Amino acid sequence: MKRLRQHVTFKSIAGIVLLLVLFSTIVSIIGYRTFTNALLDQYAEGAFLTAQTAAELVDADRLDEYAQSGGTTPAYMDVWNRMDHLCNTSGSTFIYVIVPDRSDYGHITFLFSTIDHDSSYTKYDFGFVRETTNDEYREKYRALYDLAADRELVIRDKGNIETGSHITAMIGLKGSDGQVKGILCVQRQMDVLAAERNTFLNKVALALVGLLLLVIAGQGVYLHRVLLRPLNLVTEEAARFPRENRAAAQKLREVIRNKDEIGQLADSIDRMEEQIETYITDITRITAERERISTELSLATRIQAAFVPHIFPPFPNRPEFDLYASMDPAKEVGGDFYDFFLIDEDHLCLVMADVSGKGVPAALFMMVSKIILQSCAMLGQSPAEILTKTNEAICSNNQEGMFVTVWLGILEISTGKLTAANAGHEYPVLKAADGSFALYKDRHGLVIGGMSGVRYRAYELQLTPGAKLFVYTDGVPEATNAQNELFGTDRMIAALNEDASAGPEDILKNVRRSVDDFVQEAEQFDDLTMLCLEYKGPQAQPARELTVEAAVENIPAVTEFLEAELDAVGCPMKAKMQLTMAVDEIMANIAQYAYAPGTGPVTLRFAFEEATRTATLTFLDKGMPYDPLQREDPDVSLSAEDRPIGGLGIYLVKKTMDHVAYEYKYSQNVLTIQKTV
Amino acid sequence: MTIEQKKNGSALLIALEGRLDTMTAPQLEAALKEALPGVEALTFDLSKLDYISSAGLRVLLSAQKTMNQQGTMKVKNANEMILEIFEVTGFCDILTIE
Repeated sequence: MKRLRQHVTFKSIAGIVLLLVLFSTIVSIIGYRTFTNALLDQYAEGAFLTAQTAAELVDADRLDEYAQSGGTTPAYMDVWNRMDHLCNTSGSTFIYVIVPDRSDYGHITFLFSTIDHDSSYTKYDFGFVRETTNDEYREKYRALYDLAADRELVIRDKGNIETGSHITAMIGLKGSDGQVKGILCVQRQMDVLAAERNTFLNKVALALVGLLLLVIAGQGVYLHRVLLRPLNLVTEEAARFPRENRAAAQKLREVIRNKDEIGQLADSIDRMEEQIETYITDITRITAERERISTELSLATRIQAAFVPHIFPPFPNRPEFDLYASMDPAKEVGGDFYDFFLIDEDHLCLVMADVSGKGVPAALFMMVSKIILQSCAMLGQSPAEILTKTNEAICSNNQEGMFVTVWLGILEISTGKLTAANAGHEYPVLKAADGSFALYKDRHGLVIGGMSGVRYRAYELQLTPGAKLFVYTDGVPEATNAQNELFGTDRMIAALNEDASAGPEDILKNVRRSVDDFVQEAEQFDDLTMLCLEYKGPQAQPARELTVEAAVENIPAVTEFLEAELDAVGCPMKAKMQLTMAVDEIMANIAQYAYAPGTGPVTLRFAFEEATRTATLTFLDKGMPYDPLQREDPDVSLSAEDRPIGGLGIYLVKKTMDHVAYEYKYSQNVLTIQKTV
Repeated sequence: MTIEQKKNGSALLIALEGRLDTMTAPQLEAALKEALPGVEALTFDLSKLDYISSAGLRVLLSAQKTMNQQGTMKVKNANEMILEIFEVTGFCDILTIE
């Protein structure tokens, strides 16, 4: 800062001083010249005046006579005395009359010579001859004699002159014949002129120095007030602001009152600070907002993922079919969805849908669509009716013009009859029991939400045991790689047929892997949703069931039923004992708690899948909803004294069975246990 | 289920046959309540017991607590499935199993 100040001040003042000195020098030189010339003119006029007066004392026609006189005749002395008097009263130093030698004017002869008595000069004696002082004199003598000029002036003020600076005014003394007979010269010293000139120069120098000091002081103060102080303030503020990131309490404009560019700079900095402060506030707010939105989005992702059935296998007690589905939104939330649910014991509804657009708007629309579709489906309507009603419901409140493509099918589990309707969705892919996967080009209706009043048409397919159905959203065939190529349905069908006999879960994995291999590093552009159903057909061993009143006394009847079923399928002893024990525990539980203090029916349904040798037992009661699996497991490490009596039943069941599940469905507690025997 | 008791002084051997479950456990509980006073060495022979349920475990635990006060108790000849149940329920640490 210090350096800058010195720098700017120094530069500014040095510049001004330089200019002033230059200006003063020019003024001085002009002044000096003018002054010298004016003074010289005056001097010269004075000298010529004296010379004129002196010339009248000398009669030119008598010059020869004076030359002969020897300088002693009364006539000569009379002229000399009057000339001497004139010399001492006119301020001249030297008045003399000479006759130059006419051959080359190289010598001069003094006829008269008078001096100022106060000066240090001595007069030349009569008839003294000396060399002409220099060529200038010689030329001027010649000019006078040649009548080229009436008078001449010689100024000697340069160089080392014995007699000091002086001027010499000369006039030719003309006889009555008009010819020059001699030259009268008046010499005046220039010391007065030199003194005057020195005074003039001193005054100019003094004035210059005074002016310089004034300018330096003035400019210093001015620079400090007008430039440096405000500049310092601006610089300090510019350093402070980024450090503290908030506008100063006192605006720069309040301390810098300049109306010049510096004032504008202060204004600009004030405005800039205000804007930056506003900007920082905005950015902070926007960042917080973004974080909040991101948190909400991740929550939304989880809600959406949990909103579609996502526990597999979804129906462990339904060996007639197997299904698997997956949903991978391209963004946090997506518009694709699948859904499946049992409308009743014999009807499975499958939904695959794709909402136009992506992200949050699509997700909101998806939630609504899914709920409406399921509600309509649960009313027991046909696929065509479901789509028609859903379309009406969505069209009535669809101001954003969004739409959703839906493939919806209802499988009659006992017969394998699939009734489906398609609202602008991708073609389903079917695999017959002994065939391979191929597109099934079904009849398309308009997308749902496109236009109200649309009627959808359903079609029927007969699935035979071993048949598979694959439905998906356009994210699969339209997956794009870095070269902008589409995955396409051909590659999709190929992936499905890679291992067409695999289970639904493996088939979906094959497709997913194939898509990933194809897309590689390219960003997932669309939601990727798939569902695969395998129809296994009605059970070879139809479910057998026994319904009794839920009471401890009826447990033996139930265990007898079970043992008979297990014996029929050739169940080994240990597994039979474990299953019997499990039935004992569960029946005891239901008898004691389900209808307490009253009583009600309990059904045990037995199913056996020969292929996997899995026994599935389902307990159904209409008592109050109660999930025994929620009960905490007992601490089995306690000593006999600390052990509570009881609480081990369900724990034992969980430990000895392969799979235990509870759900509350159709107003019933449904507890399912499975064991491979 | 059948319960067979053999008393020899202060020693009591109880042999169980069939199933010790929700229905039969109360029978054993009643029999023990009657037989245990004065017994210092109680032995259960489970060689003919098919299985045991949590109700049965309850009775065994209760008997073990009683015998802790007045003597010793052991369980012998349990089949594989019953041993497994003793294992998962932590009863193998409570009962003396031979």
